[in-house]
Formats: sequence, structure tokens, C-alpha cells
Amino acid sequence: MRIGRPTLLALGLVAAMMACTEDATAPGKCPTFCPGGQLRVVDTILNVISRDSSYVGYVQPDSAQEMLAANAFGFDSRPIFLLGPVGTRVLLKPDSTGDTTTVPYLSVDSATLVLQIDRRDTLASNLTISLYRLPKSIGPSTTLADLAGPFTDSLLRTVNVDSVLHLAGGIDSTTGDSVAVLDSATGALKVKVSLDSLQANFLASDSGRRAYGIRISADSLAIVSFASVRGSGGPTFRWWGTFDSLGTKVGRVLGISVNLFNSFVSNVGTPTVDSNLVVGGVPSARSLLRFSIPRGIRDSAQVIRATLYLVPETAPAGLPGDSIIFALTRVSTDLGAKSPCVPDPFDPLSTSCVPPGPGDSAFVVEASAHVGRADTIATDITRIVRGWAADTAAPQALMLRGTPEGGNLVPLRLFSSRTPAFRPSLHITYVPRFSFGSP
Amino acid sequence: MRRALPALLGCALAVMGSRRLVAQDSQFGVRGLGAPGTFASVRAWSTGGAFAAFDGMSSLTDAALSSVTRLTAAATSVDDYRRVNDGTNQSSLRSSRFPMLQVAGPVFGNLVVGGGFSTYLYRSYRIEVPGTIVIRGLPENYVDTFGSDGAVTDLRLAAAWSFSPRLVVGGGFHILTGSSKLTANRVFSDSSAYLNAAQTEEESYDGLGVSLSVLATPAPNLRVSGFLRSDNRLRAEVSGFQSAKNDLPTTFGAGIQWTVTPEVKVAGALTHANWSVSSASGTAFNTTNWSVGGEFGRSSLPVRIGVRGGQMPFGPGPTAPTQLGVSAGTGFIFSQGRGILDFGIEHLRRTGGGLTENGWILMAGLTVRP
Repeated sequence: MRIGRPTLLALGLVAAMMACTEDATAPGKCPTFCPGGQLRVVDTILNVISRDSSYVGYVQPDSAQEMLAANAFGFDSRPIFLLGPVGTRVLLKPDSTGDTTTVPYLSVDSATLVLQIDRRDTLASNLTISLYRLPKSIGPSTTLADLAGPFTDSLLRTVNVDSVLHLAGGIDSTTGDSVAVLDSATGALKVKVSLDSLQANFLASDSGRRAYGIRISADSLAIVSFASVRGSGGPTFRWWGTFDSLGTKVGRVLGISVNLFNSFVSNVGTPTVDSNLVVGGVPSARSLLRFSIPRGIRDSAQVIRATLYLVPETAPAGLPGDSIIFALTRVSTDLGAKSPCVPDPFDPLSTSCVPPGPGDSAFVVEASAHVGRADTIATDITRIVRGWAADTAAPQALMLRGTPEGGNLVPLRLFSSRTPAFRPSLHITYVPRFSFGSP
Repeated sequence: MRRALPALLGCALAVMGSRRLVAQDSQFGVRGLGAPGTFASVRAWSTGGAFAAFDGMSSLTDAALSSVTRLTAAATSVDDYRRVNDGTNQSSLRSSRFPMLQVAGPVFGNLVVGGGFSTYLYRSYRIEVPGTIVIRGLPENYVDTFGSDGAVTDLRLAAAWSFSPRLVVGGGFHILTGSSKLTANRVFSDSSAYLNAAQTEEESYDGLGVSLSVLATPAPNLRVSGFLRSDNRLRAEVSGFQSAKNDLPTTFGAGIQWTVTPEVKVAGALTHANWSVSSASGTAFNTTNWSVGGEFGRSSLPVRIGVRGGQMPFGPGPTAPTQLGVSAGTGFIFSQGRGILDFGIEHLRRTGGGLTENGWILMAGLTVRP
């Protein structure tokens, strides 16, 4: 019998198609038609945290991402900033390649200061910003007491943010001030304060070098975070001048001052470190939690849920309804106070840590403590614990730090392992190793 | 046809290469050591296995190698489609496997040597078990999945010596080897609260066996075969540590083949194995299996039919699960007899312990005699 090549190819194709099917999943009728053994789940609370410590002094006010302003609940905090000099000549047509001749200013007419409010309580009515001129000698060692005089007698402008915000377009046509909403979810605002020539007071002798301070007030809940240079952008100060353009007077921006220094001064002292744990505050404090998860669980079992319980020593102070946010970050090496956190995998050369966010919960998670309430803080750290199982050489330690660091005047105080009744604990749910292979 | 041979081999390799060397053969092998293989080529399988004791390309007996007159290689490919009903759930399963490859040829005089591999125990399955557990005070739904993907393979080196045209004696040495990828997963319905747990291990097997067989031709048209095989034990290791050790059975049987005319051949066989020596979890039973089949027509295009029945060695009830299969097949000789393409189909029904399996097995085999 002869079989043609096409027939053989067809047969081969049919056989290959048959070979590509596989579905071996069947519902189990246990125990009669199931393999021996069962997956178990163990749920337990472990006191596996020891040698937990707190350290203070990480982020100073002048290197914080926020400039904190407060005038409520006994807190008094005031942003201060020093602006650099600007030039005295400009190109009248900077966008033209043919214009290479600079022109000196005839006069400095005004200035505008733009501030960004990152965080505020939207219930704070009549939120008012008062701008003070400060001595140009301000620096990291300047205290609130040092500036008592200027904050008393050097008021330049007052802007009622709420009033301007409710004007048409958020613009006060009389003063030139304006307020714009940047993010309706967070309540972030952009506030522009206009200064006339007298208020701006440009001095050619120091090329416009100036220092300013801000004080806020409101009917209540006067606590506000201004963006700093290290955050989403510090104050922007523009000098406006008049120039001679072939016999015609024209207005131009004389220059934008560089932020040489921005910080805040407050009546809140440095967080004190005692036998318990401290997180946040200014200068910021961090706490290091060291875990000693039993090897039988870490190496052999599979953790399906791990919840870290932290008990506040006292209810956190601040705006009612607000929360103190802090991050729990894996450290790449346990060096105590100088333990570096796990670097950002997308930017391994940077010294920054993994930022909190979706998808990176194997390295960092965020937790929050409600202001005014001393409830136990429960934080899911399942993926972090699984990360320790995957990399057994990695230190089992978490660094707790405020988010953003230096963004809260008052630190969060937590009980440490030295307080047995309220010590940090790990609620862990795991599947012990399944015993295969008993056919 | 000569030009078609490479294409045919290519097709065969594509078929064999596209599948994994494992399959789920029976739910009755989940609880015990597995589901035993048939040790039959497609030709023999198509006759219900009745011809296996006389077929040189089947690995059931060693004396049958004497029928190999020149270097021959044969491979078998099987697909099965089964429906499993446990009284509550019904599911359809499909699988593919490559259970046998044999090579044999005469060496000198009356000695024929052969070897290859065949599946000794199928150990492929995947079972889903849903459930609910209370964790942290709340009920959580989950689905457990237990899987095994692999087999115990019989590596055979055998020889047959024809003392006379009427008497052939064969013997073989068997190494049992192979591995299975074992998985155990738990998937929670609320994946935001509980992560899944997954565990995977590699289980390897080893064991040894010897076989003896005799093939006699008492009359010109009548052949009888007797065979005995003894395997010592099956040792299972997980991650380098012994996880189980089970004694393996001694198997013996006999077969008879009657060539009524050159175009009518019938055969029958009976096999017994004392699987109850195994201490595997579940209940192990001794098994007796029978088969009857015939091959009709010209050798270039025969028609094969067969019936087989008997018991499965592992099951939950007080008695061994039973099986009954009805098979048919044919084959094509091509390239002046250098190649044979065999096809077969079998309907198989297995029952026991409240579970019923019904399925179709499609077989394809390629024999090459260069």
C-alpha cells in the first residue's frame, strides 16, 4: 500500500493537534480520591520584636520637605526663607536670538511671592497668611525667640486665603493677590502675594537679597504645610521692573530670586528619646524594629498574612481628624541609627529610599495614627515578611520614619518591647510546610 | 515513499516533542502509588493487550524479542479523553503521554537484545479541593490544588535466546526511575487579605526489577508464553530525603496465541500482580487482568480488536476498582516494510469506591526498521 506524503503530513498534523491538549484538573473527593495530607493554616501572635530603638536628628527643619506653619492647639510654627540676589540687567526680548544686549532697570516696581500650600484643613476658615520681613542673617540656628522682634514690627502683607479663593477666578484685582486650587483632593493651593515697590523695597546695594517669614492665623485649625525647596518647590519670588526700550518704558521681570535657605521655627522642642519608641517630629526621629521570626516559620512556612501591631503611648497631637503618616521600610543593612533603607530599585544609584506606593509593599508600607486617638495601629507587612523569607541574609528590621520626614511638629510615641503589656507584636498567619511524598 | 520517510519521522518527532512525558491516567492512582502502565505497543494495545506477550515491541515479556528479526525501533504516543464522575462532581480530563520507546535487534546467533523505556506507574494528576476556614475570626473561602506531574519509568535491558524454533527464553533487568513535580497550592478567595501559598517539590523514584519469560511453540500455529517479573521496592525521595518506601509486586502471567490462518490471529492473556504488598496510603489490592484480542486481514492493513478487563491496584473501597476496555486499531506498512504506522482506539471504563471513569484513548505508534 502506498501512502502519499500529504496523507502522512495530515496524519502528523492531526496527531500533533491531539498532542497539544492537556487538562488534568479534577475536583477532589477527599479523602478517598485525594493525596494524603492537608494544607494547614496556623494563626498566631508572636512577640518577635526586640532590641527596638529610637534615634533623633535625621531631618532638620531646613532640610524638610515641608515648611510647617501652625497657630493652634498651643503650637506656634512659622516658615522662614532667605532669597538670593538677582541681576540688574535683562534682555528685553529673551526669546529672540538677535537680542543680545542687556538693559538696566529704570525702577523696580513690584514683586510677587508664590507659595504652595501642600496640606491644610479645609475647615480652617479665614485662613490668613501674614508676610514679615526678616533679617538676612537667618539660618539653621535661628530660633523662634530670635525672630520675636521682626515678627512683631515688620509685617509687610496680610492675605486672607479663604476670601481670595472665593473671589471670581481666585483673583483679588485690587491687591493683585490670587489663590488657585492645585489638588481638590488634598486641598493643595497656590497662593500669589503681590508686593508694591515700597513693600518689596528692592535695594541695589544687596541686589534684592531678602529674608521673609510667614505667620498664619485662622478662626480655628490653623495648621498648614508649605512646600519647601526639598519638597514640591519652595517660595518663588519675582522682581518686576521698568526698562527703557528705545525710549519706551516697558515692564519686565527683573529676576527670580533663588531660595538660599528655607526652614521653619517653632515652639516645639526636639523629640525626646526615652525607653519607648519615637517616630517623626522635628528634627525627625526614627525607630528601628528588629524582628527575630522563628526559622521554622521564616524558612519553611509560607506566610499568607502578617500584621504588625503598634500601640501608641499617647494619642498623637495635631489637627483633629488628621493622621500622622509614617513609613515602615526594610533596611539593607542593620547599622543601628545609620541603617540605610533599601534603595529605590528604579534608581539604585540614588541615596533615596523606596518611596511608598503600590507595588513596592515588599520593601515599604505606610501606616497612620489618628490624631487624638490612641488606637492600636495595625499594619499589613505580609510582603515584607515574605521578602525576609526569600532573602534570608537580609536583616529582619524595619525603620519607622515620618512621611514626609519633618512634616509633623509632634512625634508619634509608641510603646517598645520594654513595655511587655503593650509591646509591638506580629500577628502572623502561615501555612506550614506541606509534607509531600507518601504515595 | 522513500522521500516520505523523513517527513513522517519529522511528524512523529513533532508529536513526541510537543508533549510532556507524563499524563494523568486514572483517578484511582491518586491515592496509591499510581496507575500501572500497560507495557504494550500500539499494535498489542489495540488487541486489548492480548498480543503483548508475543510482540517484540511490547515490554511485557522479554522472550517476545525473538520476533524481532532486524534492528527495530518503536515509539508510542497516547492521548486520553476521560470523564470522571464521583457521584457529586463530573469533570472532563484530557492528557497526552509518550509511554514507550523500544529498540531491539539480533546480535548474533539466536540472541536478540533489546531495551528502552516504558511507563511503570503514571503519577500525574491535579486535584482541586475547595473549603472554608475561620481565620482571625472570619470565614475565608479557599481552593487547595494538589498536583503531581510525572511518572515512574521502567528502563529495561533484555535479551531473548532461541534454543530452538519452538522454545525461546528471555530475561531482563529493570531500573525504575523517574520523577514527579509535586505542587500544593492554596488560593484564598479574598486575595487582598491573604496571599496564596504555593509549594513545589521534586520527587524522584528508584527501584530495581528482574524478569524472566518463556515462549513456546507447541504446535505450528500455536504459541504460548509465560512470564514472571519481580520488582523490589519503590523508594521516593523529596529534596534528597527519603519520603516513602513501598514494596513492589511480583507479576506473573501467561498468554496464548493462535494463528488460525495467516490472516486471522487471536490471542488471550492473563496477568496477576500482588500489589497488596505495597504499604502505600489507601488500600492496595492484588490484581488479575485478562485480555482477549485478534488481528485480522493482510499484514499491510490489518484490523485489530480486543477486550481487556480486571482490576486496578489502588482504591478506597473494600474491593479493588475494576476496569473494562474495548479496543480496535489498524496499521500501515510503508517504505518496503521499513516503517509501520499503527493507530488504535480504546474505550475504557473504570469503577470503584463510588467513582466512575469513562474515556477514550487514542494511540499512535511508529515502528522503524532501517
